[in-house]
Amino acid sequence: MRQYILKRLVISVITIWLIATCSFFLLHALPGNPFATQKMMSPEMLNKMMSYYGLDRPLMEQYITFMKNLLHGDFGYSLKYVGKSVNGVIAQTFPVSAQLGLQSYLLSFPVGICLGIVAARKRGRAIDYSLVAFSVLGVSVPVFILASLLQYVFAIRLKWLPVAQWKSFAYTILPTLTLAIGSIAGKTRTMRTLMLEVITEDYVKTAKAKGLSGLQIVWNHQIRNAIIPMIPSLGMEIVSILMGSFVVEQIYAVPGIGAYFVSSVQSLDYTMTLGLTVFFGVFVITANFIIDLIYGLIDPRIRVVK
Amino acid sequence: MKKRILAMMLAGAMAVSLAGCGTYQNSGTSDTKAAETTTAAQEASGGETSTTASQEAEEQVSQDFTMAYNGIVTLNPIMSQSSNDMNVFYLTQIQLVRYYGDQILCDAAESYEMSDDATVYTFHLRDGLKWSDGQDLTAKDFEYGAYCLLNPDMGSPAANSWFSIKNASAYNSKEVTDWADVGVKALDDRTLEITMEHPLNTFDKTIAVKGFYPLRQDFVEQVGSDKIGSSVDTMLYSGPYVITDWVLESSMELKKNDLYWDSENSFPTENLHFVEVEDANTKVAMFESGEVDAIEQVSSQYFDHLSDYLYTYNGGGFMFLWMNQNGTSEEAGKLMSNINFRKALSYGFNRNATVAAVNKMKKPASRLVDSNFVGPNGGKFVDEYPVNSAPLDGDVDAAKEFLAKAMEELGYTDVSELPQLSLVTWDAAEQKLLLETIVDQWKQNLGLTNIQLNQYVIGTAIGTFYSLDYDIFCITWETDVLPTDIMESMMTGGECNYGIWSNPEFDELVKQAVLEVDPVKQAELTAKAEQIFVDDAGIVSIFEGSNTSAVQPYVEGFQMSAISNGYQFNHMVVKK
Repeated sequence: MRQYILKRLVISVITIWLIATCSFFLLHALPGNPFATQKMMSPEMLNKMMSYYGLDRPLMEQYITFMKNLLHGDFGYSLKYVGKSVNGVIAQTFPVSAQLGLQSYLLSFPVGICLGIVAARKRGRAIDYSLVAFSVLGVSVPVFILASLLQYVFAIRLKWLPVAQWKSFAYTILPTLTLAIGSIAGKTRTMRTLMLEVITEDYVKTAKAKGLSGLQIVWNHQIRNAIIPMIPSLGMEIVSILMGSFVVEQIYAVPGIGAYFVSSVQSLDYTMTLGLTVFFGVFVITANFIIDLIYGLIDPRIRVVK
Repeated sequence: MKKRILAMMLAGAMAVSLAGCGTYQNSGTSDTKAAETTTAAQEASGGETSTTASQEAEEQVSQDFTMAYNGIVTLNPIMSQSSNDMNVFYLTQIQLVRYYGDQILCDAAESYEMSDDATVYTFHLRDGLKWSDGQDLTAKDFEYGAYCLLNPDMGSPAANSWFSIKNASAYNSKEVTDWADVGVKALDDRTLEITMEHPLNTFDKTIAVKGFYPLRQDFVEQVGSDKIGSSVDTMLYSGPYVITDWVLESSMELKKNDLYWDSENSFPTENLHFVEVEDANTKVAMFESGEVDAIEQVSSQYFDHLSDYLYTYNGGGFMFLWMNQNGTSEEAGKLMSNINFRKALSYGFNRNATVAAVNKMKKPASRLVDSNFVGPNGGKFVDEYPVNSAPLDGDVDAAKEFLAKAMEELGYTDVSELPQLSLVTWDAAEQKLLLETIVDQWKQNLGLTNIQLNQYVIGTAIGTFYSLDYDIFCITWETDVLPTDIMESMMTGGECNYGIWSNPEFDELVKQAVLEVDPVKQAELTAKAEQIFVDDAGIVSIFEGSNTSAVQPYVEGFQMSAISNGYQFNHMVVKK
């Protein structure tokens, strides 16, 4: 087990180095420069700016500086937001995105699982059909439509909740719901399928024959077996929900990290883009690493197979 | 004798500008419903507000104003390169003189005068000016602000706006190393003297437009010049408001600054809440639900929906088609170098119809002088000096003739033989619509099928602009303080002309116009240069820039203008 962890660690570090290096050179290979905005600047002024930020030096020299700083965990200063450090921006915005992601996850995971179980238990009944319809709809309606719809109904028509911004808990409800609905729909579908698979298994019949109550069978035998394939996807989903809520953040004016990522790429803010890419890279790799370990703990078969 | 007449005229011009100081008048630059309420608000407040009136109004007046604004990236005027930042600086920093509509008001300066030869400006500061931390604000702080702007080690992208000051350019490029040689001097705590590189009778306008904000040396050194303005605590304020909270890409809170010299008579709204909302639809939803009182910038697709609330100002820049005479290929270069072909493109589309289809609040244009500029005789420059340019409705017959002539000169017999041309712009939806509309008209009217529209993300698009990797480029350029400013930048080797077009006659006229101090002669030279610019069709304008806001009817005195950036909320009252 220790060797396994060590091997995974080394691979992780190499992956992060590759991510940093590739994104560095790809980003610098793009035409244009960070000071090219709609408000344009004379070439003379541009040269002065480039030399001020050290961007006129040879690329390898810039790369070495970048890597040195990276080893110290220092992503440098943004080229667009004068005087703002990338670390500071991450520290300010990531918690917001994380809160939004976690809230929607805490809502979608139990609800999705429960709905999946209900649908599977009531297979072929009206409730099953309506849940299947909901999950198809929930998966296929794009987030931005859903967001606008929720805003229209709950904020403009009913005036229960604010349209946008991020000030108190009330402001977080609509974005959380928007993110959660799609996720609930997906989980309902998956859980329903997984439950239907285990329902016909022999050990379920045995349990029934032993005279266990329906609830006990569901809890002790069906769920525990059905839920295992959900776990590896759980890791990826946490990651994607933490960073992938860009559209939701934009529509609800949530000051999260997603907006920075997109705008920094567009404005060729090298340091910001690289910093965020490496941060996400480390985050994804760490999350996967931990999930792998947890997976091994939950399901002994995987530990044996390795 | 001649000199004396000139001096008298300059003195006269100065008296006019001095008289302008301190009077609040409506700009009259906008022509929408909200603008009418602007006028009403000014009349109501009338410069000297009577105390009883304000007490009566107090019950229904809200001290809070919330707006969906275009977010800013820094609070540091030295490092700013965005007009969004300037809008906020108008509220947070004092200026020597500042614009309100098209009036220049004295701000930190109580009065100022220009020397007879238009080379030395002397500003007399008010007594008792304060920074937001309570310390005195002196002429030294203005000198230090200029020092930071021009010091090459500070890396200010705005430095070149001040190169008309004596030795400013040389100091910025390290040819002059002694600050004492630069033409900005605080003679004492309340007197600032600025010496020009060459005679310039409009430097007060430059200051009003571009800022020239003070900075305090001990504060900058304490915070560190690279950190200044990166957060609320790393900036000192001197304007009508101080910033109490600022979350990047999210929100900003401003509170009235009681230490501002004119706080009793201006900027009546106590708290300003700015929120940054990127999604256009969300902005409109927030406006409708009452979460914001105004939207700074409304997308054109909502103009019909919000037609009762719109507030528009035109000007400040033009959307241009830049014709690259080098071309992306040799053949394309030859074609783009042909004046008749360029004219065919300019005459071959209907600007009025294009603008109506794309963004009806824009003002179609085929010339170079901003419609807001005031001419030497008091009227608008564009009215006083008309030019002969492509008609706004287009002229298909003339365009066809130009095209036929161009093809004959270049030896083509059919339009299908013309080389492929690359039309480049950035990836905004509105740009796509605009250029597809124009390309389609070229196709319909002239049979041109060789023009390919390429859209890239903004950084990449501008990269191709610098590297001249396009045949036609579409982007705006700002008009700046004087009509000659944009002309200077388009001269051979100018700021925005990297070798795409050159006309020695134009260059010569612009040079003369810049140095001319007699306003009438200057305007005549400017008009001549403009005519050449339009005739050559080297760079072709499509429409004037504009900004359209949405403002709730209970907000009175909401004002912004194209002449100078700034949330000009000097008399804005929220009656909610």
